[in-house]
Order: sequence, then structure tokens, then C-alpha cells
Amino acid sequence: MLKSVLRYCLFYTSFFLMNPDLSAQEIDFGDYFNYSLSVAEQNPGADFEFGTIISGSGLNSIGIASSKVITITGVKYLDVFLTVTADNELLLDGNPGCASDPTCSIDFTLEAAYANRGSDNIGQARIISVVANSGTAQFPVKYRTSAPPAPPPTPVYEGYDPSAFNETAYLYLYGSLSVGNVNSGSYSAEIDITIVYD
Amino acid sequence: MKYFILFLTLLSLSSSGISAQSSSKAVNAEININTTVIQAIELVTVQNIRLANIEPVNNQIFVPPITSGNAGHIIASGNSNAEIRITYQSNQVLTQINGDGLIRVEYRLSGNDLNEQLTSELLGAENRNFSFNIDGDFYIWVGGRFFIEQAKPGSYEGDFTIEIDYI
Repeated sequence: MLKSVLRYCLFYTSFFLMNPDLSAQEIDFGDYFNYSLSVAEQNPGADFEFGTIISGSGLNSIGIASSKVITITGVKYLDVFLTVTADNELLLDGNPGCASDPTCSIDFTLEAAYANRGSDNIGQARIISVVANSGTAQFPVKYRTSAPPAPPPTPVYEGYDPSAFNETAYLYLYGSLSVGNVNSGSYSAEIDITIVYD
Repeated sequence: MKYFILFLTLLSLSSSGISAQSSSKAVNAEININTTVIQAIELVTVQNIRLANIEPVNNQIFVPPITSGNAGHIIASGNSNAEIRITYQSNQVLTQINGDGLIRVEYRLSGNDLNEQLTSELLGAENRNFSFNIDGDFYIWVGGRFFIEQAKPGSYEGDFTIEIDYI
């Protein structure tokens, strides 16, 4: 009887131990080879620029059609996990002392989207859910159709060149400023982007 | 003992799965967001043009903007030290409110970044770029020539259009 109870307990202990491990059933191909991955601005040197705006003018928006475009180049059949985080405020001359100061800070709301069908096309973009100026997305560098799964990735072999399998996805950053009665001058903030193979 | 070994084996399998989810191949980028804020330009009328106490000469009333105390006075406010361009519509017509009288007007303006009318500059067609002073102010005086040959006694109304833009 005692042996039976022990066996019963062990079964459930094993079940609970194995349960959190279920997600590890996913094969993260990116973990098994040093695949190339790069992120770049489509127009280097061109900041995410709202231009000249009038103090007290309220909402000033940049839509996706005028967005800052970031290119993500990597192995097309791998998934990437993207994190984008923006400052909540633009500060006068970037001065941290202006944080939360209504006379020298401007509230910023980030919006983001990506396109992974091989071309820079906002018509194919998918919105990234951004909450409190932070958003994440997981997607293949090249969109996979709803057809049956393709064969597994080409195994690594001598002379294997992963860049031959590269594709570019596009990240669109846009958003809006809420401009109160702030002092004149130059205001700035930053958006941080982190991309990693899944 | 047999179950204990099995237990340890399961524990070992469980922990190895967690580490497989980490990766150190992240790439990062930083994007700057920028904007330049300027103040809206505001116009405050300090004094209207006063014509009532001026004697016409040859059916004309002349109010020189630089020297006449009857000239209108406007203060423009905006970004300190910002360069501005001032344009205005010089030819206008004032119409009688209750009648068919007309007064044709040729406005003339002068401006100064100091609140000194006598040292103000006439705003000509090629002399319309100025700057707000350090306090963000620019002073404008409005005068002109009023042709009253078609005027009749009564009250008149009309527009004066001035436009100030940041350069």
C-alpha cells in the first residue's frame, strides 16, 4: 500500500516538474548556430523628426506613412523576437531635470508596426501592440504562408553561408506628441530596439 | 531508491529546458526622436489709428507711422531673437457702415525691436525681415494715407491684414 502511494506521489511530482518544461519543446534554431542578424536605419542620420511645432498646439502626430523605417536583416526562416521601448517624454535639450516638468517636457506616445513579406510596404505592415511606450513582437524574418510547414532549415555544412538565406523585414516607428505650453527649444528622446533570434 | 533516482533524473531534465530559452545574440539600436518648439506669434493692439483730430489736406489724411502719435500701435510676441518676415496688404477700402461712402487707404508700417516709434524702420517691400528681441517682442506702428474724396459723414469699417512668419 505504502509503495503504491509513493508511486502515486512520484507520478504527480514528475508531472508538475515536467509541466513548466513544456515550452522547451519549441526548437529555437537560432540557438544552435551563429546566424547573422543586423538592424539599421533605412535612412541613416535622419532622426525620427517631428519638425517645428508650436508651443501649446496639442496633439502632433506622425503616421505610419511618414514613419521612421528600421531594417532588420537576418535568416529568413528564423523567428526574431523584437522589443521596442521609448522614453515617455521628450525633454528640452535632453535635460533629465525636465522630466515631468510641464514647462520643458512633451509627452510622447509610441506606435510601431512591422512588415515581413520581403518589401518595404506599409500596406503589408502588422501593428505591434505598444503599451506604455513598450512593445514586443515575434515574427519570422520572412513571412510564412499558411501552407503546410516547409522542410526544416538547411543543416550547417562545410561552406554553409547563412547570409545566402537572408531577408529583410521592416520596422515602422511612428507616434504622437502632446504639446502643452512648453518653453521654446529643441526637445529629444530615444527609442531603444532590441532584436534577437528566437 | 529506484524512485529517488527517477526523481533526480526528472529534475535534471526539467532544469535543462529553461536554459535553452536564453540567447546572447541580441542586436540593439537607438533612435533619436526630435522636435523644435516655437512660440505662437501673438499680436496685441495697443492703440488704434486715430483720424478724428487730423485736418485733411487735398481730401487726404496722412498718418506717418514713424512720427505721428495718431498711428496705430501693435506688439507682436513670439520666440525670443527669432527671425521673422512681416507682410501686409497695403491697399484697402473702408466702407461706410450705414451708407455708401468709401475711404481708400494706403497703409504704411514701421517696426522696431525696441518700443521706440521714432527710431522704427519703415517696412518696405524689400525691408520686411526682422527679429523678435530677447523678450520675444517686436513693435509695429500703423499709419498711412487715407483718401476721403468719396467719404460721407458716418462710421466706417474695414480690414487691415498683417502676416508675421518665422523665417
